[in-house]
Amino acid sequence: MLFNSIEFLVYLPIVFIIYWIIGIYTNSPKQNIRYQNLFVIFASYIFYGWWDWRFLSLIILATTTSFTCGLLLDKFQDKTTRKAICSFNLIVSLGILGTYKYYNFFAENFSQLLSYAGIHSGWTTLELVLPVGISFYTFQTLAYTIDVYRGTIRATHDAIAFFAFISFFPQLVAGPIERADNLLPQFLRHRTFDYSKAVDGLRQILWGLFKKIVVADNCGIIVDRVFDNYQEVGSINLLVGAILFSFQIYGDFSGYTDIAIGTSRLFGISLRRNFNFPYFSRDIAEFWRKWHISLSTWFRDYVYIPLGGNRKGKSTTIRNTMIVFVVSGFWHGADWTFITWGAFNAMLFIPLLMAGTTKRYKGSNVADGRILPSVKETVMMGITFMLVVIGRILYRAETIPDAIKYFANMTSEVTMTRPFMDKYTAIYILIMVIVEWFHRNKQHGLSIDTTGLMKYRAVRWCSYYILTILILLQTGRNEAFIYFQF
Amino acid sequence: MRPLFISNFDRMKQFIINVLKFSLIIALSLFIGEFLVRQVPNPYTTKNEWLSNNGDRISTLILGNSHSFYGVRADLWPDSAFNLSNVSQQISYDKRLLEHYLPSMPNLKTLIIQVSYTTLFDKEPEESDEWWRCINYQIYMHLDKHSFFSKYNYEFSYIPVYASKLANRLGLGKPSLLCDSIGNGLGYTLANRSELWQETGSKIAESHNSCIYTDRLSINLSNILNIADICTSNNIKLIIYTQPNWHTYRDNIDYNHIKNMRKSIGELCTHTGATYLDFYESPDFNERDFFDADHLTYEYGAVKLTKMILDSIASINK
Repeated sequence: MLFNSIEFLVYLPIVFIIYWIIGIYTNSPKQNIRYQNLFVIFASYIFYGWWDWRFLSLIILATTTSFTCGLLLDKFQDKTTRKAICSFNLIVSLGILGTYKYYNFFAENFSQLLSYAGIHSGWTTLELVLPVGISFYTFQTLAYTIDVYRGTIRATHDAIAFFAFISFFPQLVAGPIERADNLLPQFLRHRTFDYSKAVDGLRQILWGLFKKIVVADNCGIIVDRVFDNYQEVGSINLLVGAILFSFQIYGDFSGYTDIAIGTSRLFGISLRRNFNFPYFSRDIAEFWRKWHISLSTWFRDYVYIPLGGNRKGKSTTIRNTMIVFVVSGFWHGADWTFITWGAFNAMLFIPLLMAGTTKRYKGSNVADGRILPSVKETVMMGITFMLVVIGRILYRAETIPDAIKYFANMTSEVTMTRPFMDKYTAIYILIMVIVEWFHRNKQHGLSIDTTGLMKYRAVRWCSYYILTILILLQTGRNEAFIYFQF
Repeated sequence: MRPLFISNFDRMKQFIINVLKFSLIIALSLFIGEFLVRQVPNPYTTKNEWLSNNGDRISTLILGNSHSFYGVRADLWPDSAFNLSNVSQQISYDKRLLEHYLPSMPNLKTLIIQVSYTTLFDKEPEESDEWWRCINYQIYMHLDKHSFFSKYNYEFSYIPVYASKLANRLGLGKPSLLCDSIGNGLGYTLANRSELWQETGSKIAESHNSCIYTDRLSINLSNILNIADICTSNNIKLIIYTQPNWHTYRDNIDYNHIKNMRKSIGELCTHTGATYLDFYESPDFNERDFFDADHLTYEYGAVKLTKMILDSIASINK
């Protein structure tokens, strides 16, 4: 079920109340944890099965395989056996992912390749529906097994806690891609209700809904019209379309993450941060440290570092960086546009790598200690944002030739057709940017210090009501989250 | 057994109470607004009231979407006619309305149904982007198609329209849809027409082209067949017509679907004895007859079309 649906509005309070009430009927903390985890599994499988109950078998298979491999890795200490166990889990997990997500891509491209040589292969594609969230939970189970293999964590023997860790519904279908060292221990210990965290969690949910329903969905209407008719649209509108898509995907994905993290906090669970206001980045390296953090750190830890990272000379570092970006692009979708988008981002990143400036802004925030950015910072943010926008054209276009034509039409000459942008969408984007700018040092856009006017409940509630009304005014469309398709 | 998290139990209670307080204010506002919004006059209430009180006077009924809502003048009929068309009304609802109101129209002799480019290929209304219009039929015309708990029973299920109606009720806006006492749509006059009305043709055609679902043909045709059966059983003459359009609209339509529509309606009429009047490419309509590329003006185009339909009926009856 979607986070922005009536079903979820009914589902969440019921799950919340039962989850906490379970404690009343248990006799010990251990029993409390056990029953709460069981309930998390039950509720999460209902949440996931709401899309299609048949896909429950895949997530159960992936979870069971990973848990079993963890136990076997704990039991066997010799290197060869451990390698075989880890490889087995890799094969199963990537096999599931590869079949559902990539089979048709490889079949079509292989047939195409053979046809260039005059061979007609007769490879058939499969009519497979991509299970929601498969890319996310597969990476989560893989990370667990690899961590146990490496010895960075101990395998858990608590199957219920493990199943709860993988299936936990807020992060199940579109991340953050959680790691066992953060999330699993939370299912192994007693959770207590924290009032201030729960309230802040609700604020984060509200902010996430605003970004998704008010900003992203409104941008999406214009973006669809521009990209579907880009041949007839003037260059200014093409630029507007690309910029709006960048806001759409940010509002959609970071909005989802905010709802996921906020929801988790209602249950006493802390998920990793996934976005750190990436559009305020001063260079591409900083952008990729702040965008979809859980995915980029996953690729860093399980692809980049095993390939050698930056320890084997500059050319190897560049090669490894290219591989990570291309694979990351491929993770997003079985299409050449995503692969090319990944390569494009690698081409933006590599010059910084060669200049040794990738960590220039690490650990600092733009306009630290100041209200407004400097001119230089503004220019840097503008350039970084526009580079990201250009990459988004590849991301959004149907094919690479479409993306090239789009870019060419956008940059060939300045032409104006009937404007597609409407003032309300611009206002909503402005609200989002301003609010997040002033909270760029906080966990999320609606992290409120109870100082100044905000110490008055009436003022806080007024701002919540304004956001709620804006959200309600846009409801009725029920657009899916973009990252559900991954 | 005291809860293990007893130290936080009171805080959790406080949390739930505060959430309930917050939600209650929203819920109360929605329900009070719902009460106010239902008092806003609208074509559905007007038509339901009139039919309930005067249905026995009607001898001709007009059904269809905005093309007949604005494009046919029931007031010009020699005998008593009523326009039961509504904006974006689809054939499944034409059928439902006929079934619902027929018992209160014992003297109904003629049924006029408008079939446009998208009629045979429309999705079920509840599955379309304008699903919220179904709320009007449920609440104001009592079609009772959906259960009590369904979203179709509440105006606040679709906040954008709800907010606009509420603003109108509170005197902050004006109603968007008006009709006269016998159901004719008002507002599509030459004085209100945009200067760029001709340019709307390609844009409207483009949006209509994206609403074509060819797998819906058989379902929608069977709806018309059901209507024809009802007419036969009740000795009602069925006339199906397609309204005229300006060339900027026609030039951008997929003509294959028009051919398909004509063929299907033609076969249906042969089978049922209904009459089909095709004004789609009629050369008798000029610029002042059109409000936009696919709707007629109240004082010119609708008058002309109504007279042409009446003339056709007269020649059929001879």
